[in-house]
Parts: sequence; C-alpha cells; structure tokens
Amino acid sequence: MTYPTRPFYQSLILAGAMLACTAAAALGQTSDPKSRATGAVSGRVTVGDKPAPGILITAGSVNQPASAGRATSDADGNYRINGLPTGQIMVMPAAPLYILPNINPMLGPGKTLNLAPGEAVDGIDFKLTRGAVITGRVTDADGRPLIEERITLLPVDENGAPARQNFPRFQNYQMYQTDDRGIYRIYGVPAGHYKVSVGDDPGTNASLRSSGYYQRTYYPDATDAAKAAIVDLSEGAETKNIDISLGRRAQTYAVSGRIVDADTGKPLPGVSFAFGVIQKNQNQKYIAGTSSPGTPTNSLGEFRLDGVGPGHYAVFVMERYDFSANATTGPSVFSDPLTFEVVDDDVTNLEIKAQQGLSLSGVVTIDGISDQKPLATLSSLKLGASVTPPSGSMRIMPEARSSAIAADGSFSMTGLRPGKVSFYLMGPNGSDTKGFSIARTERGGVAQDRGVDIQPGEIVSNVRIVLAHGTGVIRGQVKFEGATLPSDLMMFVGLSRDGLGTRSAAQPDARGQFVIENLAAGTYEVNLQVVSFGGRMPGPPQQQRQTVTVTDGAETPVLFTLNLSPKDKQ
Amino acid sequence: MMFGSRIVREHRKWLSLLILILPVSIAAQQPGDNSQPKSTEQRAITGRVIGESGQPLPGVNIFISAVGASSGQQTATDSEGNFRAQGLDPGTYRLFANAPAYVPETPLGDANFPPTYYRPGDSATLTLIKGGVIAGIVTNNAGEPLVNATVRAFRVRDSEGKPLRSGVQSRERVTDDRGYYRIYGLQPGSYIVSAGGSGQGSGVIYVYGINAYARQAPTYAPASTRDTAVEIIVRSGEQATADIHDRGDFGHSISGRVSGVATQLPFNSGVRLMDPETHAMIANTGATGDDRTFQLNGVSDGDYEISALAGAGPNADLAVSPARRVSVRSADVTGIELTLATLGSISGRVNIEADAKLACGRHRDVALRETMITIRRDRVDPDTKNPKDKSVQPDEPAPFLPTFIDSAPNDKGEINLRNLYSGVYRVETRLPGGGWYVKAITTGANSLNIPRDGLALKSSDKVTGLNVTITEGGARLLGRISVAEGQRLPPGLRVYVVPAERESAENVLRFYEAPAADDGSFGIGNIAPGKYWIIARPAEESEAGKIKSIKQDATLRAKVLREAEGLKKEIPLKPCEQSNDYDLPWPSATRP
Repeated sequence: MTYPTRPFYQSLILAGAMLACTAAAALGQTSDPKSRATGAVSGRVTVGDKPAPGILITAGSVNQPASAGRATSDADGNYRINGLPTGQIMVMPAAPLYILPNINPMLGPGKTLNLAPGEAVDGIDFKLTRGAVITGRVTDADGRPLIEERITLLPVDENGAPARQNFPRFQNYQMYQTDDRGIYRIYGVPAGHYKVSVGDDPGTNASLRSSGYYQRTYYPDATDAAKAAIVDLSEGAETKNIDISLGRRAQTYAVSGRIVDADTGKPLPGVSFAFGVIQKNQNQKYIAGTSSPGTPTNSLGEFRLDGVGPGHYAVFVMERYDFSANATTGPSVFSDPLTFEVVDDDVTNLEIKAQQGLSLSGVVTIDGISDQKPLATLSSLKLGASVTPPSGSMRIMPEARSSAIAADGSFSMTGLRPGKVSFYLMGPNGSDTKGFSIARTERGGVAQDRGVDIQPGEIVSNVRIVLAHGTGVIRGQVKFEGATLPSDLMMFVGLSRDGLGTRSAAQPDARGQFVIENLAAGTYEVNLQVVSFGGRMPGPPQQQRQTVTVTDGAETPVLFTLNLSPKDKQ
Repeated sequence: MMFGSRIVREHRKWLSLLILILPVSIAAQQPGDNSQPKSTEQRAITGRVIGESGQPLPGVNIFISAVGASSGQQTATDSEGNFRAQGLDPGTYRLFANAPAYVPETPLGDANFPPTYYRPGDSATLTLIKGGVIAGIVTNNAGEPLVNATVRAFRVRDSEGKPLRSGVQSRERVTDDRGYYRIYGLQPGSYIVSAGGSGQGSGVIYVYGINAYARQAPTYAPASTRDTAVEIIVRSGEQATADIHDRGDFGHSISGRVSGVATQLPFNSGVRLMDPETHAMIANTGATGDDRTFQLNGVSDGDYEISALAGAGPNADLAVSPARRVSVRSADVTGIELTLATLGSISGRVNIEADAKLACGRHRDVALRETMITIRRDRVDPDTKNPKDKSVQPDEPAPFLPTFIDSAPNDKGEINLRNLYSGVYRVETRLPGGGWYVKAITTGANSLNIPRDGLALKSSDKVTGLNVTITEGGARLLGRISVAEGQRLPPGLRVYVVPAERESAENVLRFYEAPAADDGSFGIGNIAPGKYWIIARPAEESEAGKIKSIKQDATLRAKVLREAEGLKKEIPLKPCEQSNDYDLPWPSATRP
C-alpha cells in the first residue's frame, strides 16, 4: 500500500489500529442521541432483483452500529427506521449471510448520513448478494487437529496476484478460528478467488508466542504464497475440504536485558517497557504494532520477552498505568528504541539506556468568554499531547501523554521524550470536547506553530493553551460531478485557523454532506481531501480549500465540487 | 480468561496436606542459607504440565502472576512438558496453565479448591484435563437456523452433582450459517445452555458487530425458560448434544436509574443482571447520559439479582450498589433505583521483626516480599436473614465481588486492599517460611481484637493503620499420634495446639491446628514461642460440611481449650525450636 505524502490525516492512517477509533470519533462528534431524535431513514433491500424480506437494518455509529435504531425489511424489502438523532449515523443491513456492495474502508460497511434535525431520508437502498461458505480442517504434521488456529483468506485475481478487494468481515473472529476438532467454517464470504492460509508470519507484529508458532501455510501445503492453490468461492455455494496440514511448530526465543540509567549505569527496577516491529514507510523507519508484556523490570532492572519469533524489533521504555493499588512504580523515564534481531537463538544482555522523562506544565485559558457556563465543563476535559521526535529518530506509535485540567486551569505532564509536543483536547466520551477547541498554543507568551519543542533535560513550565469556545456551525456539501461517489473513495474534511495546524474535523456522508459544530467565531480554512483506496482514481489525492467565516450561533454553508470523471476521458 | 491447574507441590506428604487444608500455613523446611536469592535458580519457578494420565503436555502457555501485581509474565512448556519462569523477584506467585480445549483438573474460582502459591525456587506440577463439549443446533419456530446468535453455558453443578454457589459461565460462542454451535473446553459438571439475548455485550463475535438477537430473551435448552432449563452433564473429553428451539420471546424490560456517587471516567456505570442461584451474569447494559437511566431488554419471566457498578481505574475506587432482587412476571419492571456507594478499603503495613540472635527465619532478606496478606469476607449466614422475604435484601453484596483478596506488601511494607464490600473481614497471613510467627494484628489506636473478631468494614469505610507484625523465632512441631498395639486411629483426627498461659486465652493468634494424616503424622509450623497444651480430637464440621476453624469458631475454641486444659498435656516451645518426633498418644488419657 502506498499513501500520499503528508496529508493531515497521514499519522492516523499509519497507525492502522487507530482507524476504527478515529472513524468512530468522527462519527460520534455531532450525534446527540438524547435530543431531537425525530429523524428517519428508509429504503429497500434487494437480493439480485428480488425484494429481501426479514433483513435487519441498523442505524448507529461504527463502534455501536445498532445503537440508534433497528428495523426489519418487510415482504417488499422495504424498511424504515424512525426516531433517529440529529447528526452523523451509519445505516447498514446486519445480514451475516450476505455481502454488502458498498464497503467503505474507513466508515464501515454501511452508508453514512449526516441527518439534519427531524430529517427523513428515503432511498437508502441496499443491494445484497449471497455470500459463499468455505470450510475445512487444520491438522499438525502428525494429523492431530489444531485448535484455535486462525484462518486467513487472501483475495486474489485469476493469476493469484493479490486483488484489491475490500473484504472487511468486521469481527466475528470466532469463525476464522478452528474449533477443538481443528474444523473451521467461514460464511458470508464474497464470491471470488482466494488463497487460504493458517499460521503466523513471525516478525510482522510484536506478539509473544511462548509456545512457538506454525509457519504460515497455504492450502493445500505451501509455505510460499506463490505456490498456493487458488480456491474459487461462488455466490451462495459451500466449498468443502479446504484442509491444511501444518508442519512442525517453530520455535520462538527469549529476549532479555536490563534497563539502566543512561548517566549512572545503575539498573532501574519497576520500569515498564514495550517492543514493536521495525517497519519502513517510504524513507521513514518506525515502530509499529507495539505491545507490552505488562510486567515492568524486576528489582535488578532486568526485562524479559518470552516467545519472540524471528524478525527485526525494537524494545524501549514505555510508561503504562498500573491498576493495582500497591504497585511499586519505577522512575519516570524514557529511552530511545533499542533495535535487535532474532534469528535462531535467544537474545541476551540487551541494555536500554533510560533518561529522565521531560516534564511540561502550564495553564489552559479560555479566549474571550463572557458566558461562564462552559467553564464548568472544562474540568471534564483532558489535555492530550503527542510527541513527534526530531527527524531522523525512529518513531514509536502510538505514543501520547495526557493531563487533567485543574480548577485553576493548570496542567502538567511528565515522562515526555524530546521532540515536538502537540496538544489536543479529549472529552469525557472521546472527541466531544463540549464546544472547546484549541485556538493557539503559547510558550513564554510566544505563539508556537504546530506544537512546543522540548529538548533533552529541559523542563518547560510556561506553556499556555488558549481554548476557544463557540457555537458556530459549518454545514458543507460536496457535489459529485461525472459519477456517483465510488465506495472506495474516502473524503476527509480538515479545518485550520490562523494558518496553524489542520485538524481532522469531519467526514462527508453518502450524500456528500458534512457538519462541523461547536466552532468559535473566526475565519477558518476548510480543506477537503479525497483519497482513493481502490485504485479507481490513481494519482495524488485531490485537495480543495475554501476560506469561511464562522459566527457564533449561526450556520455557515460551504460547497465543494468534485469531478469524478475518469481521468483518461478528461 | 481461563487459566488454572491442579497443583501438587513436591513436598512430603504432611506438608502437602497442610497446604491443601491450611493455605495460610507455611511449609517449614530444612534450615538453610538465608542469602539473597541472586542465582538464576533462586529467581525461577520451574515445573511441568501433565495430562490426566500423567503424560507431559508440550506447548502449554503458563501465566505467572505475582500476588498484588496487576500483570504477569508468560512462558510455555517445552516438548517434554517442562517450563521455567525466570527473572522473578522475591514474592508470592500464582501459576495458570492454559491450553485450548483443556481445563485445570481443579476448577478455578471454586471455594473448595483454594489457590496454590509459589515462591521463586519452588517447583510445580500442574495437571490439565481435556475439557468437555456441548454442541447443537439453534433453530427458530419455522425450523430455520439462527445465524450468528450467541450461545453460552453456565456451570450449575460440579462433577459430583453439588450445586455451585457462584456459577461459572463459559466463553460465549456464536452459531454458524447452519445454526450450529460448539462450546468446548468445559470443566466437567452440569450445565444449562442458553441461546440469543444480549449476552455479555461484546461486539467482537458478531458479524459487523451487530447482535441481531440482542433484544430477545435468551432461550434455554431445549426450548425453555430459566426455570425449566434442562441440565446437561458434561464429562471430560466427551461431547454432549443440546439443540435449542428458540422461543422468539422478546421478554420484558427492567429499567430504572443509577444514583449515588458520581462515576469517574473513563468507566461509566454499568448495570448487571444475574442469575440468583449461580450469580452468573445474564445481561448487562450501561447507565448512560446525565440522568444515568438504564434499560435491560429481553428479560424473560423469572427471578434475578440486579446491581450497578462504576468507576475503577488508576487510583480510583470502584463503586457498586447492593444487589437487588427483581422478579419479572409477564410485565416490564420499571423504577429500579440502584444506589452506588464507593467500596471500602483497608490499608496498613507489615512489620518484619528480624532477630539477629535467633536468625532462624527462612528467606530473611526477602521476608517482607515473601509475606502475603489475605483478607476474607465472612460469609453472611443466610439463616440470620429473613429467608421468607426474598424481595427485600437491602445489603446483599454485589455477587461479582471477590470474597477474598490477596496482597503483598510493597517495598515500604505497605499494604493496600481496595474495593471491599461492607462486611467482616478476616486477616490471614502467609509467612515467608519457617522460623517466623505472627505476633500481632492490630489497627492503630483502638483496642479491637482483630484476630478474634475480624475487621468490620462498613460501606465506603477507609480503614487505615492495619498493622501485621511478623516476628522471627517461630517454632515447629512435627509428630505423630500413636496408638496402642492392635488399635486403629479414628479418621478425621485433628491436632490442636492452644495457649497454656491464661492471659493468652483470647489471643487467637496462639491457637494452631493441623489435620493428622492416616498414619497419625502431623505438622504445625510458625508457632509463637510459649507454653501450650496439645490435644488430638475428631474434627468438627459446620452444617455446610466445612471443618470448623479454631481461629474463627469461638465455641470450638473454648471447648478445645477446656478439653486441653483438662488433658494437661503441656508442650513448651522455645524460639526457633524444631520438635521433630513429638509423640501424642491416642486415645487421650482423660476425656472431659
């Protein structure tokens, strides 16, 4: 996969695991389920050309897809969900045996709508196709069933090359696992060509497999994907006996060492650590898929990772919460990632040099507020910070710190590593920041661009985060020309103010509509980025900008026009 | 998460008996070096995992968890079934063996099988047995399969048919496109199985995260409500069939609001509906919004317990409401108010009094870290309540709270036990080894007799200043009950060691007991130096069939003390004394 360079959402995409959260946050931001729940969505569900009765349709968010409402299609395939809240909702059929055609990689399998108060939207139709079933048995070299091994279906074309097919069978992980007899059965699979495999690719994620692992093996018995058989699955049909026999369990290794104070060389007990795999994205190396074994260094400063497969990794200090009441906690330190490679033996005597974590404190203030009511909600917000290390350093993702905001507005954070600290607000339920946004960041009275630089050994105490509070609304519309919106297109709306950093603000719905609420009065640049995930719109993402002026308590319209005519016809 | 294993420690026979029956007793062992365990060997727990016929089990994951820590370490058995957990600090550990489709031979969370604890240097043998299977087809009234519906099994009886007070629920499984489900890795016993309903509310097992049957009441196998559910017997390694015909019952709702202490983020209030018999959770929901209202849908007719839970997180206490009884009878139940109160806590410290002149305490340098303090809530005798009125039980603890908590002092000696429901708590001590004894358990200024009466905790109480003093110089008594030629010992004998000094008659810490093995041998460790009476007598059982404890049962204590005084078999024990061949004749010379 390749991604365009430096769009504002790049970091979000890189941290693949965060996709769902981000999408959920975007969806959740404007919906207000307790009030104005008078919206409605209706449409028709068909299979082939025939009406599909008895199909459950749900409305909600990506994380809670049925939270706003549900209905079942009638004999004519028609459905209607009433009582929907204003704001962004996703509507989808919950039909496990069927395939939905419009699968949006980020917004989930349904159609997203930004409902205006009391709005009834008709014509949200779904054309379903019956999924295929694949079943088989997984055994070890001695013919014994392998239990709870995970099946992977890789969509390919006729020649066996990986196909660009969006196939997110969101969840139901159980059907991808073998049972106590070694049997698996996966249903609701889009018809097509697949390579079927079981096993692990060591070195692709930071998981601990103390008991070893099975090398990924493709049906019928190939460890090389190129030699895998292509399995054809057809609509509504069951393909049986896709049995896979795995080889011997491969060994994993122990990685051990100490965490010491970089200055004194003394071992540091009670320090939490994590490890991750080293990956490259274009010319930047970064550490992804991090995981922590949970146990901090012991009284001799020793750490141990038991069950690491061959691969390139890095281990580093990573602070974590300890929920136990009586935990002995170590010093607040950070370290650079220490890289190591596991080949065919244990790795011992690693030494991580840890340095005192940096601290940063300051005060949160609110710009020009005459109405004191919003101030009461400030204490329910938290200030988050993420650190971008100086260029050239290996980046660890995700890494973030947060601080409560005290009654006097003060905040402080410890354990930071050097780099550029950028701030964001967190609400009690995620991204709903009660109408507050960060207007600007100052250090010693000087406005900072995109964050505060913090150097090794530095204690920064004079940061001022100026919040804006507002009730302004931007209501946007993206008009599609030349075609309807293909399902593999992603649209993001970013917002920036006063030339400072752009933040991800909204995602246009299936009709191209978007709403950004709780904006402080002022001039904003609205930035629409369109990215193709399916290759139908090759080339760099389209980007459009518009400048708008927002006033409190009013809606500001903005219109983008997107030309979707195929490029070769232009 | 299911971990666990049958645990047999490699000790002499009487010692393993001691540990099984008196989990707080200490394995007194040969006097040895007391040096800091720096060698690799002394920082490791080794062991093996075997199957029911003793065969080694390779590739089994072992989870090692230190008492008082929120996390653990993991390793796995090699091809010979052996494992080795390394780099462990001094402390008390529990081991859990985990292999899919297998279960520990001794069920976890079963009050009859107290946990076994290990220290670095120990060796363990853990036994796993093949779990049982329940499988079947779930269909609706039209005979069509229910696809992607949740099915779960509740263990309601153990393998001997005894009802379980706190039931264990299996992992939830979902039906496939044919309506087929299969629940494996079940501990042998009797189960009831239900399909549909909101279940645990975890989205990860549903296609697109949507549970299509969330609003229905679960149907119990074969086509029943809870009251008429058929029990299914599960045996190790065998499969039982339980087809379910979904009743399509939408049930009724239970709604209300959560009040009381404000909840702390990030955890909102949750409301749990539980089976009153097994205390297994049937459904749960959030109490969202500023008014904290809740509604549980799809509840079929029957009796339930409902309670709310909120809070938790770093440095935040849990808040719970007492469990309320709710009966659903052909109608929705509204207006249930669940009042959250912060749970109580007990904090204090452990003082280790080492004595350089005696120096007989095992693990002296790590004594603090190898001490474990357990507090255990006294079970409220159901007879003292009003058993006729089931609807009013104002102060029943929320049944999902543990009845005991283990803790280890931190390096400053502090102990901090959080999230305790109101009740009377017993303080138990696991000592670092032989040569130590518990001198005193007090709470600061007041004159409570904690060892005798326990520590009474009211809702939201924060008790500070619990002091547990552990002193060097504990004595050990090994011996045998002897019988005259041709006579046999009656079964179930226990040996009691009680204080001979009058002023210690109310000092429960000076009462000791141990079971006698079939050959009459017995052992008691960690005895405070002093003068004692010793007596062997048949054990007494409570109505529930549990052996009465001399530390907890005042009547028994008075009776044994009286009998022992009458018998006048005195035994003086000096600090650190190790009496190895004590002879205790049976029958006792005089009987009161």
